[in-house]
Amino acid sequence: MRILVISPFPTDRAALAALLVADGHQVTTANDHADGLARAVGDAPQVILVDVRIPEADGLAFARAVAARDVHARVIGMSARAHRGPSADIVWLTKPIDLAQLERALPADPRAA
Amino acid sequence: MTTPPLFTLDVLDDLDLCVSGIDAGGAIRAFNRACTALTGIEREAAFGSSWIERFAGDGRRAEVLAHWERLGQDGATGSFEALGPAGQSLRWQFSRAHERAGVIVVWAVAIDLTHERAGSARARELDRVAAMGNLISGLTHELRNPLNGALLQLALAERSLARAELDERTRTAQAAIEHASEEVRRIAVLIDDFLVFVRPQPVYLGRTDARTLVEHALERAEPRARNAGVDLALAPGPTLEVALDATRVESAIYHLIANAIDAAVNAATPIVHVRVLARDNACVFEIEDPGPGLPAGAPIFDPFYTTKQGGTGLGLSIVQRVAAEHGGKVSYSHHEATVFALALPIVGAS
Repeated sequence: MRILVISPFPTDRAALAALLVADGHQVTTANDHADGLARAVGDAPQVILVDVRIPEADGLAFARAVAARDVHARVIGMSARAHRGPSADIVWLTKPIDLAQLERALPADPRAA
Repeated sequence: MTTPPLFTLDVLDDLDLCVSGIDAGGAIRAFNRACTALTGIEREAAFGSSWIERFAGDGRRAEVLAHWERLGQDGATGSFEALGPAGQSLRWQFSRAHERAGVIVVWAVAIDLTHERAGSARARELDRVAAMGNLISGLTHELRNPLNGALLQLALAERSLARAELDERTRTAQAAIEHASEEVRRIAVLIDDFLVFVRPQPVYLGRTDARTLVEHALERAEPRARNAGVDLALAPGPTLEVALDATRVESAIYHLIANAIDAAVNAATPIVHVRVLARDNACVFEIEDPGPGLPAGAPIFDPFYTTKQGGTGLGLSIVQRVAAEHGGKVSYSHHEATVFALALPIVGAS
């Protein structure tokens, strides 16, 4: 699966990328939302794993910006603040990320993402 | 010929408001029943005594005299706040007396502000507690960022070692990493509990398979069980769809399993049995451990009650809160084994 990891934390970014690569995924990374959006358009990922500070504000805004650029990826938001309300645009994971939960959040069939 | 008095001073006793009259020398010449009730000073004792000494104190004499001086110029009134003889917060309103009031030149009416003041002191205290709550909650959220980094790095180390050739040294390292991860996860659970406690979140009901949810909770508890040398056993059974808040209920079940693991550590057969059943229109999660049980009559569901060294005493109170949020209940029994049962109504059950 092609996965784009966006996080301002270098250790998180590196560890997530290494763990996902070890699971057989192709991973690219970005360190902020602007760079992430550019990569999303360029790399056509099937999944975007994005670190957001405030789930309701910048998480949803990012997911909608992705959709507006015609990128059809499942957006998974990671945040230190829990947001669990239902949302069609984004799947939420609360930090610290539970890897089993992350695995379940990945689409079974990436073409359907 | 003298001007007849406007009224007799007895009429002041009909008022609920404390009214005192002061003569040109500053002595009290009128003191109604309401004043006695408010200040505890009998009228006879008040008569003839210095108003300033009784209600302002010598230190504020000049301030009061300045107020009295200004009275009457353009109908000016003055107000003066001081503590009353019984410790109340009093506001005295001064006004110039009509000349027909005889020897009285100044009226002083008291308003008791004690409750109002106490109310605003309480409001200030609540504001302070709320601000502190926001600060702590913000700080606690922030702790999740470094914890995330630590757990991801530990997961990476764990996976790298899992692929390496295992000798005694790498096995020791692997065990150390596993213990460290478990400790960090404990901190994460503490943070979750704390945040649930200080900032209750809304409940999101969604149709969920209760069995899958228990499997996820068991998966989370697995490293803790392994470190403690306790086995986890889920009794076989069919799937069971229930409307519940999956995150909340999973966390409640995780708490019950974690407690059971801690209780089972020293048992002869350290196994925690978990069952998911449908009983009386409720979905029942049963967690059983072979431990000695809890002290009879102990307030086990009260926040901060704990029998564990280093426990916060929040776990069971959170389980009880989750049960209540779903209209269910949690119960405890101990016969040969200890059983906690979390029963949640199956919404729409026939």
